[in-house]
Amino acid sequence: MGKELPSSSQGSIFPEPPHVDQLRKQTVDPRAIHLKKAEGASGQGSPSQAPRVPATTRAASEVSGNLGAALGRPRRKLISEITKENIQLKEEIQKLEAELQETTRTSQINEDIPETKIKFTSVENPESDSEFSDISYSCQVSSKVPYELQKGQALITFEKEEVAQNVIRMEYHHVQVQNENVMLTANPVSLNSGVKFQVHVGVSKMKINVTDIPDELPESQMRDKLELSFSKSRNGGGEVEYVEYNKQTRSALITFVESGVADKILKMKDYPLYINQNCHRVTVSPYTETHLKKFQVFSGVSKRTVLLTGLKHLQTTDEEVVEDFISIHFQREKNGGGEVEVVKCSLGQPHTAYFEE
Amino acid sequence: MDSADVCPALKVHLLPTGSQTMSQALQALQEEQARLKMRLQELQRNLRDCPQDKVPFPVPESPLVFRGHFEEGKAMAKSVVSHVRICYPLPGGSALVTFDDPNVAKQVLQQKEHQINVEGFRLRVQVQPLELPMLTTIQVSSQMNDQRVLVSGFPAGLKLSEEELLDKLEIFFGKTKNGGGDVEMRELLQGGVMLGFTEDRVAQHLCQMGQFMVPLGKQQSCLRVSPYMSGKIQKAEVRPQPVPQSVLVLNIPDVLDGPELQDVLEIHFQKPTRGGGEVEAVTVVPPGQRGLAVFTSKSG
Repeated sequence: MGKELPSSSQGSIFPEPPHVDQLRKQTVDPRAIHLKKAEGASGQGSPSQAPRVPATTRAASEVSGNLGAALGRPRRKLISEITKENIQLKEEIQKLEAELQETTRTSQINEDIPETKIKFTSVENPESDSEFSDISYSCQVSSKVPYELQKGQALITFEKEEVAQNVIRMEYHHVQVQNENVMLTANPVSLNSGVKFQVHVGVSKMKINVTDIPDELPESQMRDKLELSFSKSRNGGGEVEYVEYNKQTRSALITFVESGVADKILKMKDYPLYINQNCHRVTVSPYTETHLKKFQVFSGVSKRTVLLTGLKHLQTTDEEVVEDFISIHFQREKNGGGEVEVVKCSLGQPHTAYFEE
Repeated sequence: MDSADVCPALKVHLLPTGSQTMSQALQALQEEQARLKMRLQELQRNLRDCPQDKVPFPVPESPLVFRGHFEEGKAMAKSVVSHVRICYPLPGGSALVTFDDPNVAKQVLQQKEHQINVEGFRLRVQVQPLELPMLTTIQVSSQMNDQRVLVSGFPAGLKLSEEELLDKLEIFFGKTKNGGGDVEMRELLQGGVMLGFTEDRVAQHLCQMGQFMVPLGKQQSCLRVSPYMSGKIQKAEVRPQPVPQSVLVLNIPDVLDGPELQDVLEIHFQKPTRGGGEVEAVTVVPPGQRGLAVFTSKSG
């Protein structure tokens, strides 16, 4: 199920940190940690993943390694050397901390969802009270994993997995593209990882958020005023179960006894709040709770799509024409192919192809 | 070397009073270096583990297909939203009428109140358009979670229910003698199980150990434990979206029972003279009962 870790000299993911004693003996080379990364990178690993070896640690290892011989050295000199190294280490740490912040930002899902058509499907019995007090929304979100199709490469998706595997097994294919005879090499597609998860949103039918409440009264009094105003059915309100009021943020959460009152009030953007003789309009908005479920990182594996290379020196520059020829060739069983779903090639410029579930 | 070159925090140690102080100073510096190196390694590890393009620890595989979607230029993060499901509570004494043609629904809604003729008396009901909350923007970031692990490597054809499997894993990894600790949460994922512990060090320790023989039913299975990345919602916007084909009927008087009411409503709303039309579905929730209307996205 899971991918195997590339074999390396280190046994575990979390290597033991060096102890002070070790500094006096042979040093632990931090570069050893990077060996795993260098070995593991293949196919689509981005070029920025070169092993990071800070210059300071090399110097540090030299010093520590020589510590045995340093007994003869004046301590003062040693102290200042180590101090200098420590300063360099601190700088390096600062740099990586900044980089870490930047990197975590790149692994994000950021999506504006276009309007999706929804339709009535069925009716169910609510299992509990909580199911009834909210309108619940759920959906699945899954990364489309991008693949950079370089110039001279093509992607072909077959209907059947066996056909794709066979094409890869055959490896070399002589394909006629217009007047030329090219040799294409078939390989599996190496994909990056993506994330998938479920989003669950509960929109309360019994609670509403109230904001922009004027800060004119002491807490307990304001709470009473809120309850009074929101109970007035002539203004669209209803019997109030509970009021949570935050004087500092000038906001409140009102829970009604009956569901449906919230909907009515939310049809308006604001609501009248009576304080003594004055009427203030306070802003009302829905109370929602959103959370993620089943979040996981997955590693993309292409079973039906194959990478074809060898189109770099093609005379034809029309991508569609080339795609047609490739498709025709690989539809034929005698060429080792089968039913083809999609073909896409990059001739003049690279394209980004998206893989999805 | 001048003491002026030295880090200000250590100046106090460098008074040349005697070898005793020098020793201490040296030791303090070496200890600091060790701490700094540890921190550096931790950062390097975190950066490496960060979900850039390929994560260096085992994650479940998911088969993907190229369906022809492509773009010019730089790769942009994109995602697919599917399986939208909305459950809308219907109060007692209400009904949901879904028409074939959204224009019919629009016409029906022009009158806020409808009078339904039934065998000599009239039912007065209210009709309302239906709006459902839809997710319009989602921003989620991922980061390594120090308290959680992913358990994977389950044998194919395992004859355990979700609950049974989760229980067995919680029992095994809840024991300190197995290297585990108090389990705070557990979740079944595709290709693995996520376990969350109350103490940080438990997750780290289990990842270090890596492999475990866990009794799952009749036999023992070799399972693997690896680091887990969790997601955090940075932004989620929900906006109301109308359901053009459906209409809510409210405040239905308690005069007829379920099936009869359903027929009556269907007949009424099909009459073109009443602005009605072909009715696709009528769902009735009699007074005193409750129902949950389920809406799904057409493609998912």
